[in-house]
Amino acid sequence: MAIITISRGSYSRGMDVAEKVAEKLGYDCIGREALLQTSREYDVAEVKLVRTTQDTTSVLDSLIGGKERYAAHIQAALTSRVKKDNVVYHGLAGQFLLQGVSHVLKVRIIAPLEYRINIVMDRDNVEKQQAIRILKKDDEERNRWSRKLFLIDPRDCNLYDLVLNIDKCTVVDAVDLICHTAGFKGFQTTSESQKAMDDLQLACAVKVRLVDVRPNVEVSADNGNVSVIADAPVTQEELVSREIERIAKTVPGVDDVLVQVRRLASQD
Amino acid sequence: MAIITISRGTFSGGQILAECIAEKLGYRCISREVLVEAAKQYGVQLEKLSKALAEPPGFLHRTTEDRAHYLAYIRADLCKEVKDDRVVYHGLAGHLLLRGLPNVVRVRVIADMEFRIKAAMERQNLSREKAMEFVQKIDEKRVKWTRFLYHADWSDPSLHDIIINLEHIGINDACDIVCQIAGLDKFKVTQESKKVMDDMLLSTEVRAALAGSKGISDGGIEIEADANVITIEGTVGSLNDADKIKELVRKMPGVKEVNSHMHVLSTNL
Repeated sequence: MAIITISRGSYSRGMDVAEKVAEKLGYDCIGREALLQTSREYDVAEVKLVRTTQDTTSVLDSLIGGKERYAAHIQAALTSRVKKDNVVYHGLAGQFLLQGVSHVLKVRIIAPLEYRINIVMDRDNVEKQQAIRILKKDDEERNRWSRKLFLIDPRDCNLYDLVLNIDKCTVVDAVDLICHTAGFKGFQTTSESQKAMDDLQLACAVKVRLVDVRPNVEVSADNGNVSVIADAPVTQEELVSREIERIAKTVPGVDDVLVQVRRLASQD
Repeated sequence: MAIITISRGTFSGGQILAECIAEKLGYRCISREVLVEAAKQYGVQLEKLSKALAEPPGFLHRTTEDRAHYLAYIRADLCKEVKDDRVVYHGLAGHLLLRGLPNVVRVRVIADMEFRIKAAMERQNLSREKAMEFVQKIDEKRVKWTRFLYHADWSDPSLHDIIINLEHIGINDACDIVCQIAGLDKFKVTQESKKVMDDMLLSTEVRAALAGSKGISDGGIEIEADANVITIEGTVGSLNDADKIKELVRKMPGVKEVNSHMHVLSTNL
């Protein structure tokens, strides 16, 4: 009973591993694309990313409402999908977006360059030099995406519980190891860890509603009690506070809202 | 039957993990013994070998040739120690020193900073600030060292088969995972892996013998072995040096044939 996030470079068999782990454990398997199906506006940007024909900066700049809004949407979609547990997520930044929940097993799959070059050559029917160029560009775009959007470097091993090199360990071996690890006591869902998950999901659901009004809003939740920290000019404190409370209370599961307004520095 | 190397930051629980794996699989567990043995065999101070393995360039006052010699001794001895496999090596740089050997499970463990700082405080009896400084300093050294010697990034994940973070995975569970990997077919001893091991044994032994011979400038020399045939590559100071090296290698036990591709370093007149 766990949530497994699998981060991967392109052409590293990571998706293959994710799907097989889900199959073996009888878990749901979701990717980045599936996450945003509900949101038509972002679905477009996602397609752009997958193709990586455009450079990351321009895609990020073109996101409706800016990066914060997009990040809030991803996190809200992810937390609502994984809240019910027993799921494998192989999309972007799962290890980061589900921080603080102890029953999340964070895995990264990597593969040696030679191995990846062969996959590209096979799959895309290209020469070696072209394959190297594709991989280099792909890696750069992915890394930049995570860095810009979440300020993390996906290659940083410290972010994961397990990093597996698909080289001598085959896909099947990796699947076995991950399933084995998911069974460890530390990754079992407890009432405490489920509460952390539920609180995170509620906070994200509130944030995604507020982010249109207040892009820099910070939200946390404790059972149905939601705390919001938002910036506002001195003269609008009262107004902003009331607006936040009204919006937050429309989210199912929210009982109480505590708003703390940070005064924006005066213009003069 | 495999060889397992465990690399780690200092105070990261690597030794306890190594001991746990060795006990569970019935393997030998080695670390500093390699240095002790190499020091004895090649008549070098243990301290110097230890420094060559732990300190980045600039910390040793002698030339880089000295360092190349010390590392040659260490590599030769490590190869001897692991040649019959069923061994866990948790000393420094195992994954780099044994590069190319197929039946090596290269493990890296990561511990969270808090754990490492506490361990450093306890074991070295340091204040919190001093312990933090201590851990960071050693990390920096290791990064520099690896870059210098192997042109590799110390934290490059592809240098390892598996990286385990001990923050949420306990030692016993980590031990379990490594034992599972060690049992995989790919890490079993095969005819092919045996040959690579034999070649590596001979080439490192030859390299160490050259390092130990007086009056030869051998800093730029690399040795490869292929079924008792030795190939010497690199640059030397003079033709005389090249001849001496060839002669010495030819006389070594186990060497059947010597191919020399040495270049004499041209000097501007």
